[in-house]
Amino acid sequence: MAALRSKSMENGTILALDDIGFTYPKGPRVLEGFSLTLGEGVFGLLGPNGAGKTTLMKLLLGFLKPSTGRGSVFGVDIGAEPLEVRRRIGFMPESDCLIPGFDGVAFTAYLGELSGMPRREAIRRAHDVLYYVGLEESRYRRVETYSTGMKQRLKLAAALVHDPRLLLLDEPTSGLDPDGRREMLALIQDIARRGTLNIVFSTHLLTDVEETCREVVILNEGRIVARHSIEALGQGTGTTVTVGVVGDPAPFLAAVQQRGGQVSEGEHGLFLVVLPRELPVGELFVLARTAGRPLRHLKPVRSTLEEAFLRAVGESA
Amino acid sequence: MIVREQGYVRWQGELRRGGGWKTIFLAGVRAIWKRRFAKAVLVANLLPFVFYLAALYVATKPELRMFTHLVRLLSSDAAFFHSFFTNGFSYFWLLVLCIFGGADLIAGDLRHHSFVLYFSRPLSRWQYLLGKFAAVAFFPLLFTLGAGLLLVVFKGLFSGTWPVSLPVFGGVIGMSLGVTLFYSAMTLFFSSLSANVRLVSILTFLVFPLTETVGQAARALSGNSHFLLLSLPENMPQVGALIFRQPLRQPFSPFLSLAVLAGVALLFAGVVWWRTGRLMEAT
Repeated sequence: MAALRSKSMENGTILALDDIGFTYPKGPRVLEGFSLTLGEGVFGLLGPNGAGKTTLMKLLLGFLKPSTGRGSVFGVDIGAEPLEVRRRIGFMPESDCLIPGFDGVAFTAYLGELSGMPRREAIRRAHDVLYYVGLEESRYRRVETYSTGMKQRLKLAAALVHDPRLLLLDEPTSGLDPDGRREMLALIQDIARRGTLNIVFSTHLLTDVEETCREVVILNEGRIVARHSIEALGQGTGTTVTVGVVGDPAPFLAAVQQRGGQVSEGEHGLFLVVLPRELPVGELFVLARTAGRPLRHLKPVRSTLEEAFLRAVGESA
Repeated sequence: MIVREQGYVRWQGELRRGGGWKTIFLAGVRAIWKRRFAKAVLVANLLPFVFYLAALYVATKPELRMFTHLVRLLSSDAAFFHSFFTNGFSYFWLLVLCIFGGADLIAGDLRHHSFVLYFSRPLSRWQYLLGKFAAVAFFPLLFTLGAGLLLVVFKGLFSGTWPVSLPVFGGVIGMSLGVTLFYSAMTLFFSSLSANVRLVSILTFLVFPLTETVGQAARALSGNSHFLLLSLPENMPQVGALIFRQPLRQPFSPFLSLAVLAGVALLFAGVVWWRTGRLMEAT
């Protein structure tokens, strides 16, 4: 086990899941053949409701035991040593949860103590993280009186208090107004920018992932259906273009379709063309010349996360 | 530079292992102490101790012998402590104390969905329950074991001799631990059943009179005294009589009563364990 941990630390693997399967008792199979390895950084787990994101987080925290397969966090087996795994994780749950009777400082310090911090250190650190998340004015108010946005910040502070190596965020912007959402994402970006903490960010909001993550893993029906680097998505793959030709486009479009391109009608007399890998964009000029229809418009379409998500989920369905 | 401008700052300490239950215990005790009416409930629980202490004082002072005929229980140490641990007033206020301090210990966590916060920490189910149990048992233990041991000490001080025999001393420890264990397990059991603290309090409060009613009714209908084994208030003095070697109140073996109480306590503990496991999975 120690060898596995040191190997994991050496190669920078924070999370390794191998053929994980999980079925709820008398329920459906939620995860199946789930394999995933994540290095250091900020990752988005994206998927529609019921995709298995929350179940995956529960497995990582040891609330549930995988039916098949095995996994580790920083080289620590999630099934065999859940407490050791949790020492390394800070979890921000989606649900509206709190421990009544505490003010903000006492609540955060209490959870720090439960993580193993000495009491005095936990209190000092609670002040720091509450300040960091912007709750300095309300830290002595009872947590029951906090608004939704304040509770989200409080949960983030509680997840950070023991300075975990991996932060698991389950829908952190859920229920927030636009300002609150922006501020929450700014906090996550700040944590990510410093590169000291690794973050796995579960959400169904694509823009949240685009704004904060380095890489996105798309889940559907308990399986990984796609994995993309956000940077690559931003640069565009060049496989989707809008084109326009002079005159009747039919011969040109027929030639494109003959070479495996998918054509759909766009706006302003333009067409959206999805090119197969073996057909480079430059080849469109040749096809247009051959068809006697010079190109008047050609523009690559940025392959957004939304497209990638819809394509991945659509293909898997 | 303020922390926010500095951005996220790392903590340079080392996390300890295994002390989670103590954190829960201390937080629970602090929370009970801070509650409204806490001092009143604690004072009410202190009254039996004060009464029995006064009785002890009277019994050991020859000049106050004129009052001793009022204190029938002073005939022996065993009778004295049996009475201290099995009188109805103590039971009532001990129950109130358990409800007051413990009804919301798990129910409150259920109501506020706190399980996910606890169990996302390096905290096992065992540590969580030990912490909750210690919190609910702390004050009852003060008024049973603490008060019992103080009475032993005061008896020695008043009489100037070795206070009590070893079996009685063992009985004081055994009885107080047993009573506290049972009450605390019962409180956590009901607390784990519902998120509604009021319902939990009512159920816990009613369990003694309800079992008493069922036991008495069954005995009246059948004429068989063994049906009183269904009554928790009847079983406690029976076990007390066994521990302090006192005359039995009911014509059945005190070991049967002990088995009933131990079985019920185990059932309480088992259900609490199972419930928290289910709740962990459901978080």
